[in-house]
Formats: sequence, C-alpha cells, structure tokens
Amino acid sequence: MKGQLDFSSQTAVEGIANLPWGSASGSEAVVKSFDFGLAPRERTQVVFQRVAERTESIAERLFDATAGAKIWASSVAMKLDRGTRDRLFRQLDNLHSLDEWFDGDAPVALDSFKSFVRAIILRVIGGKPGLSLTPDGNLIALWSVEGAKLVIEFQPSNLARYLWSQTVDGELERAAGTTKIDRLSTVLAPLQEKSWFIGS
Amino acid sequence: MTEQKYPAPPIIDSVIELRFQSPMPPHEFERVAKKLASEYPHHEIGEEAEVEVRVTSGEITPILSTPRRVHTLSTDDQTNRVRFDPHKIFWSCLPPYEGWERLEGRLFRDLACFPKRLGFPAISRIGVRFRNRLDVPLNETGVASYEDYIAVNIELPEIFDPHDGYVWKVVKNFRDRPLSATVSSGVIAPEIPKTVAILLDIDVYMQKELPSSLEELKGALAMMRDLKNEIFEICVTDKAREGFT
Repeated sequence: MKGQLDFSSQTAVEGIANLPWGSASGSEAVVKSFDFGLAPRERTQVVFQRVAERTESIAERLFDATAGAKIWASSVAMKLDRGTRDRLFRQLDNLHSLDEWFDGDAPVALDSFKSFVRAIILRVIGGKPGLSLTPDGNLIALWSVEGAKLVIEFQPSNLARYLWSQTVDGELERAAGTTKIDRLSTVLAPLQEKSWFIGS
Repeated sequence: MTEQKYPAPPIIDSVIELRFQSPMPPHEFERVAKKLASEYPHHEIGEEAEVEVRVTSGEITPILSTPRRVHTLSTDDQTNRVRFDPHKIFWSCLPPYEGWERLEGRLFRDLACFPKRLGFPAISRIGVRFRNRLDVPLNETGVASYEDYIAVNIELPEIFDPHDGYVWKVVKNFRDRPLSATVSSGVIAPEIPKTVAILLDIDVYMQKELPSSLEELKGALAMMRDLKNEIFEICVTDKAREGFT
C-alpha cells in the first residue's frame, strides 16, 4: 500500500553491523544481532546470544583471537592480494600454535592486528616480515637486510613503534620512535638505504 | 569455474537465509546439526533468546523467551559459515567473495543433510542480503565526495553541505515479481585510514509464492540474485567500479 512501509525484520547479517549511529547498547560479546527496522512505538526486541558461560580454555582463547583477526581481515580482503592474505593467516596460526603456547602470554590484540594490516594496505610496509607477539599481544614485524634490522611493533589506533639498527664499521647505529602508520614511509625514508620491503 | 564481474567486489558479507514455517523438532534439529558438522572443521554451540522489555505505568518487566540452541559452523579461515537454529538457517560468506556459485553450491550441499523422509522444509521467508562497503578517499580538505561513488543520494539544501553522516533506507514490494527489497546506505566506521566508508546494504527477500522443492528454490534464488545485482549496479557509479579491480 502506497505510503506504508514494511518494517518486518531483515535477512540476517554475519557478524556485528557497523551502523552509522554506532553499535547497539550492551556488551559486544553478548549482543550479536539486532534489527533497527522496527516502526516507532513497536515493542523493542533484542536478541541476545550467550555462548556457554564458562571459563575459556587456552585453545578456545587462541581460536577466538585468531578467528576474530581473520573475520576482521575479511572486511578488507578486497584490498589484499590472496597470497599476502594466505601467508598472513598461516603466520597467525603458527604464532598461536597450542603446542608452543606459553601460558600467561596474550594472543594477538585485534587492534594491533588491524594497524598491521592497514599498513600493508596503505603500502607503507611490504615484503615478508617475520612476525611475533609482545606479552600484551601486540604484533611485531621484523625485516632484516644485510646486517641491518627494522622492527615495528603495531599498536592500537594505527600507531607503530619502530626500532631500526645497523652495524657500520663495527659500530651499532640505532633509531627509534613512534608514529602513525600512514607516516611510516616518511619517517623511515632517511633510513631506507636498502629496500626493506622487498622479499623476506 | 566461478565467473565474477568484478575481481575485487566491495562485498563485506553475503548471506542467504531460509526461515522455516515452524520450528524443527529438537531431535531432528540435532541430527541435522550433527551431519552439517561433518562438512565444517569448526563447530560452536550456543543459545539464543529474545528479551522483551515492557514498560507499563513506570513498571519495567523483562520477559525472556525460551532459549534455543544455535549451531555455528565455519571453515578454518572463517570466511564460510552456516548458522542453524530450529527456526532458520543461513549461509554466509565473508570476503574474499568467491562467487555466487560457491555460496549457492554450499547451500545445496548442506541442504542434503536434511533427512529425505522430512521432505523439503516448509519455508516462510527466503532472504539474500549482500552488504557492500565503498571506501571513498578524503581530499586535501578532509572531505569525501561520496556522491561520486554512490548513485542514490539525498538532495540536501546548501546549509548541510558538507555534512558528517547520512542514512537512507528504501523498501519496495515489487509488483512484477514475488520479491521485496530493503536497500539502505549510510556512513559507517572506516576500515582504511584517510577514507570515509559508505555502506550499501541490499536485502532481497521472498515471502510469497515460496518454493516447495529444491528445483523451485534454485529458480527463486536465481531471481533474487538477478534483482540484487540489478539494484547494486544502479546504486554505484563508474568511479566506484574503478575500485572493484
């Protein structure tokens, strides 16, 4: 009927919808889906999900962390080539291998992972760095080229803390700092005598 | 081989959902879930309930529905999932999008897990929902000309230009086919620095003349896919298409 809008609930979405007006109230861990298509003065219905209230095992923690990172990475997968994405996922799985996990360490922090992947997308880093994790779960990427090393710790909010070092005439030189990921190219430019980001 | 129009479509998730006319009996539901689990490496079991909050004369009364079991099954890389509860089942694919044939193929493979003696499940609604994100670069002055990327725009008076966000939603029940569509767009949180993210959410659904066999379901999905694609192409500009390569 003309002028009458159908506010019946919509088809499901995967994951949490990033709506323009911000996420729904309540913990993200609890609220998994909602529908803002209801007409005014309708009774509000919210669907809550509870995924087994009990202490997570280490295996579950590691799975949740890596799954969360992979699910987020899918939201920018169209900006990544397949080879890079597959290698990244393999490295992520290796970092979180249950057989080699040390109890007390933190799995990858999603916001750190996001900073790292965004730096790849922006093409301010490249190549095939080795990856490791800080005790807090921040991702560290390491490049080494002929006696010189570049280590970047990717922090939340698109921040990167870098440490560059090289040995010249037997003397160790270092430079360190923190910057936004989109500034990395500019900040590292004076240090790029060699091409850091080609190869491994 | 899957043919895709765009090498890197802006799809952020794609869902095909079937809602049942009546809930599956618990024992049949668990049997199907067990069979589905053999197709996916990861299996998570949870519970879902609806909370209704009634406010009457200042008194707040929460009413919790009976919790229902939910099975979520996924591949190792989490891009392909199926979520199954007694009332509905939906298949989803996260990027990188591997084409309609892969998503639909998985649906029909998984439907084969339903016992033949039950026949084709009676369906009350079919939904095909594709959400897209257009990443519009900011110019030197920090403004994103999103209207160069999305073809459906709100005509605003000058006082609102530039603005900091928008939302629109259109609902249509088509007369020439048994389909409806809800299409919405708005500014969402950006994932790429120095861009503004524009959501284009296309939900095509069927609530009448529903299929009663696998063959009819295939036909219905083809019709829904065509409409979804038609809406998408109308809503994006050539400038946006340059980014889908």
